[in-house]
Amino acid sequence: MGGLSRKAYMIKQVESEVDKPVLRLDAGALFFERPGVPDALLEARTIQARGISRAMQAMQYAAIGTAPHDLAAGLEFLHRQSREFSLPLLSANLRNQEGTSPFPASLLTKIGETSVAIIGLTGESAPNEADRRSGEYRLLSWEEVLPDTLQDVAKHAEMIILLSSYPEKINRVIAGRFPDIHLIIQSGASPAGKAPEIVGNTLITQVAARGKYLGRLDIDWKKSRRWGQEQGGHAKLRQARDELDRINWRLGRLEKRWPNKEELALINEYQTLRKDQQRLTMQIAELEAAPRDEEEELSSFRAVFIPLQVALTEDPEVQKIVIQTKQEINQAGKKRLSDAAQQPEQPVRKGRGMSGWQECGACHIEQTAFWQESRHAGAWQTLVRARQQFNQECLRCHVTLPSYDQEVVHSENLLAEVTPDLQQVGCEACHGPGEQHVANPERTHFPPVTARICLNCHTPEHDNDFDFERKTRIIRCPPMVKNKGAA
Amino acid sequence: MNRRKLENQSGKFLLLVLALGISLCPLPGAATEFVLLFSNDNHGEIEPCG
Repeated sequence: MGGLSRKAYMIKQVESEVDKPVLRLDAGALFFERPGVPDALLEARTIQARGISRAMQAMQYAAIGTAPHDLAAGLEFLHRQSREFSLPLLSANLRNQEGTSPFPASLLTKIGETSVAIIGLTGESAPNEADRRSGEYRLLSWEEVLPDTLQDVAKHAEMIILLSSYPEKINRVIAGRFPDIHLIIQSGASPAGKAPEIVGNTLITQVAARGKYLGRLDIDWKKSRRWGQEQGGHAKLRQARDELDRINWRLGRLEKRWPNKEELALINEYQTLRKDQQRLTMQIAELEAAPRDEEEELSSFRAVFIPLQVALTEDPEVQKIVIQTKQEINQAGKKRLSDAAQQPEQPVRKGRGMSGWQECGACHIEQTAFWQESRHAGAWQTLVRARQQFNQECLRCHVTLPSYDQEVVHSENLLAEVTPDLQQVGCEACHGPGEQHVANPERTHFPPVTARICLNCHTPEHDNDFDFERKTRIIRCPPMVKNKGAA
Repeated sequence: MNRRKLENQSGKFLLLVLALGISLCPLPGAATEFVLLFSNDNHGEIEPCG
């Protein structure tokens, strides 16, 4: 699931279906996976970030929040991207070394007849990640900047939207203190999606991470500038009418069963229902007679998180950018590997106690023959065909690595560590490193193969309907009978 | 062209200008229905591998 070209397609699809204005916003944490990038991965990651910048330019977002993730390659890099690709990055509290704002605090736009102000607010990253760029920029606190920023925009705007990378608990405090902020879209600090929730008079929401969903809010914004979703008199009136309908239906059933009205009047259930009927009839009359002006002015929304499924059509313009970016990443990885091989002080070595499938095959003949027919054996070749075998981001799930070991998987030198005999998802990818077992076959301390191991790679974005029980029945090697004592 | 006809025509013109003015000027604080498409936390994703 996910991908920028599917997002671009879905944006165009929605725009072609509706006859209302469409506003496109991104709350940030857009360009990088984490707020820091290891030096060895900087080139590949910045190529990726440039590709994302080009795609965002093509998708014509109205505003983009700036999260600590976006500063992973430095403020100067982000600033260059924003200028080169005309990215509307916002941050009210980010300051450069000179103490000035690199990006505007807010922007004002017109949606239909309504003036909408959008404010960006950059959250704080973990101290160890911020240390890498210490001195390059600093962040003012939200308490310092929001009062003045809001005062500036409130004069002109009828709706105020905040793109915030602060954690949700801070955003809830902001919502409580500044009811003039009508909508907060979160990013960065909270990885999971958040269904829209009204806190005071602020709607807070966030879609799940890694670009798997596109959030859609159909907003009916009234001049009261207040949300009324399921809270106002309209909702009460609807509930009362629904309850009255149910009671009338039950009364009707009793009246059919007891045609004699005198007998019917003596039944307890009938008496209770009649009382409820009277109560609800009066309540409905009161609600209908109540002043409606204020109620009718309440704003409302409908929300849906659109999954960007693999089967979705891809937007050709953005797809072209994605393909080109992936090729550039692969070329950069290839060059890096070639440079590393030419430096004798950085020898290419077999990584982390792995032996390679040929060593396993020397004893486990039947199991190896079975595995060679599996898709795991050809995993590297799928990358070669896609020209992505030097893309470290893809590499980790197409080679023999102990995928449960995060230190190995996120190694900066992964490209150099994966020698040709590890270029497939071999035995040790599931069973763990076998070097010690090869040296001494009596040592068989292999961890059990659990779903957790598979799920490191068979994530929803790569394998939407992964079922551990079903897949292990297909992939499980034949049991060892004759070659007892070996793994 | 007599004076009465001229007055009639300029009155019509004034009405037309007024009508145009009203239709082109947005009413302050009018209600708006719109669609907000939003994203967050792309985390450097361009396209899933594989």
